[in-house]
Amino acid sequence: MSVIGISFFVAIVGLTLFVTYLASKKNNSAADFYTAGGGLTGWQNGIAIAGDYLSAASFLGIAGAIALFGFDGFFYSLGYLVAYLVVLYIVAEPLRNLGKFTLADMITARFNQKKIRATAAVSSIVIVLFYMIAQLVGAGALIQLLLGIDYKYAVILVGIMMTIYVLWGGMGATSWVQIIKAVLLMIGTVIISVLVLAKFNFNILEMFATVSETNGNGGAYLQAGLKYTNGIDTMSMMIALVLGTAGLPHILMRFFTVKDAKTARSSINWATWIVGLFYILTIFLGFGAAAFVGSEKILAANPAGNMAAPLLAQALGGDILMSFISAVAFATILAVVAGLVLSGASAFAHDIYGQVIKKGNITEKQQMVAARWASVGVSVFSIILALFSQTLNVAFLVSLAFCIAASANLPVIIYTIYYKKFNTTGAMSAMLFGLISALVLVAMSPNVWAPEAGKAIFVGDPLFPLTNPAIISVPLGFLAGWIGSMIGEKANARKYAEVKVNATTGLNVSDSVDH
Amino acid sequence: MEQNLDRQLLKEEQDSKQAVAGQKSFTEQEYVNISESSEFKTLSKRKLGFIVPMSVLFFVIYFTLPLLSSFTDVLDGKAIGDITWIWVYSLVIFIMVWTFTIIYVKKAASFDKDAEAINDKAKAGEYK
Repeated sequence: MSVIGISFFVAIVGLTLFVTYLASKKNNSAADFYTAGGGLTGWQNGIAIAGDYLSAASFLGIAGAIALFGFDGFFYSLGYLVAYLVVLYIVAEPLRNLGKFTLADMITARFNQKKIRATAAVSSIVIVLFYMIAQLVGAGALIQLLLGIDYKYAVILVGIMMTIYVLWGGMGATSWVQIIKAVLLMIGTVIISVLVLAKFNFNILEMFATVSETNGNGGAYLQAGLKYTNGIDTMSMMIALVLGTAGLPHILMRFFTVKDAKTARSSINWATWIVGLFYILTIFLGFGAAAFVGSEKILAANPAGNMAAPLLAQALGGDILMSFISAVAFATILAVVAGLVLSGASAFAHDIYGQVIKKGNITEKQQMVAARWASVGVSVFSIILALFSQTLNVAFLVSLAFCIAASANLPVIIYTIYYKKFNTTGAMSAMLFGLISALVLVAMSPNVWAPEAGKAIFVGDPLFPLTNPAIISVPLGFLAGWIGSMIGEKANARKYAEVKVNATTGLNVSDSVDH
Repeated sequence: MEQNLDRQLLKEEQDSKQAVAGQKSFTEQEYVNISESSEFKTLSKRKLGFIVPMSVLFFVIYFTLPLLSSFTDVLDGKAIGDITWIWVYSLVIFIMVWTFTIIYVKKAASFDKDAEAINDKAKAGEYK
């Protein structure tokens, strides 16, 4: 790696460590650790939420997929973006009003039972682990390519960095790392996009015409269907993408970092503008890579197409731009995995240890100790899993995480807020059926079973035809919650009155001002 | 020794939490009264009357794209130059997301006023 490359890398890592140092001074309580004390402003949290979506998967993955498959690469952008409307309209404000640190807090605001909290925590942990393994395995492979370090060391390096941010800086540091990286990534993306447009004389029609001629697949490149040929599977994927966000623990956790529903709303407002703009720019990245790098070279560097954006940077801006983009891609991975560690640790330390095992009888100091140990535990465990998964094709784990979030978490969130007859039987069955059906169907899917050796994890015919089971598991989660509520005990109407009032008006969290 | 200290710390923290919570915690009966009050019912109805149709609308607009692209070829034709209809539809979805976000933020601000009125009444003890 060149001197410039190393300097970018050192500068970004140094900046994030400096921010962590500053945040560590304000990291004194469990609330500071999990939610930065609820002290983030709307724009700060908005950029941080956007940062969760300006991930390696978006920046490198979508750009590469558009470069290779044209419109089909763009499906993910559409799903992720519309997902913000689901969060904004249906989930964000009630969640902010009812919850404290975790999703389980919100559900137990209505059903204060250990089994419910434990189940909600387990589904959060499962989602976080899948998401994390996919991120770490992807990160290891990418850093190997970008910086020329061996996979093992790359994973361990990422693991150590994320643990440092979380242990010392908690949510404050994690949010600021996310904000810094989101800003840098936007700058990098805008620069490349302008360079691409300049090559086409700032004429978008010329850009479309050129990629249509040169991509190798002709007109089909600008239509859907080059990658996703099974219509039902495509629908299933679109369901998981749009509904999954509203159930992802590390996204939901971001809404506890602001002081009230109004700020939560403003966060999403910021996030939709930033992410929307970014996803439009991914078209320029993808088409630029198709035109100026070429699919052969992209595939040669990485079969999944993940190197399209860095290679495009090199083609347009030489080593300096390539080094900058690589360093930012590294920061992107760090910021996302640090957020995942936090949400996993909160489910372990706050839900399972603090509330289920210790029944809430736990001091502030003990909470902090538990949170830190849980963070180390989640980090070490996922690093070990990632080291063993190097040769497996685990990219599907991200869409599986979305699918579980949509099937196990979203039904119970919506019912808790809006469904009067919802009861503990309904809550348990919604979570368990959503979680288990998603897991079982994926275990039988073409992601795991392929007749050809090396294509999937096991050799054999898949029993379930779809790569994404959301079209079945999401309705199952909703249906199980409804049937459970019908056959279970009578819902506690007085408790629902409290939840409904707090969710609607934020009475419990509103400032206590005497008039 | 340390266990005793922890227990003492815990008790102190719980006491101070109760002291803070005491100012703004409401009884179960108050919540029931609020939920049955006409102003709350109106607010709740207005909110749902906004959220439900808007959500149905954005889901329909969103899912229509993959439905059309997977099972028909109406989006395959060229719209402007080499740009096919599916890109135009995608742009519509982007504009929809931004528009719906602006609409929500505006609308929610009007709900805030009604919610604050209820909260103020509750804090003044009028739902006891």
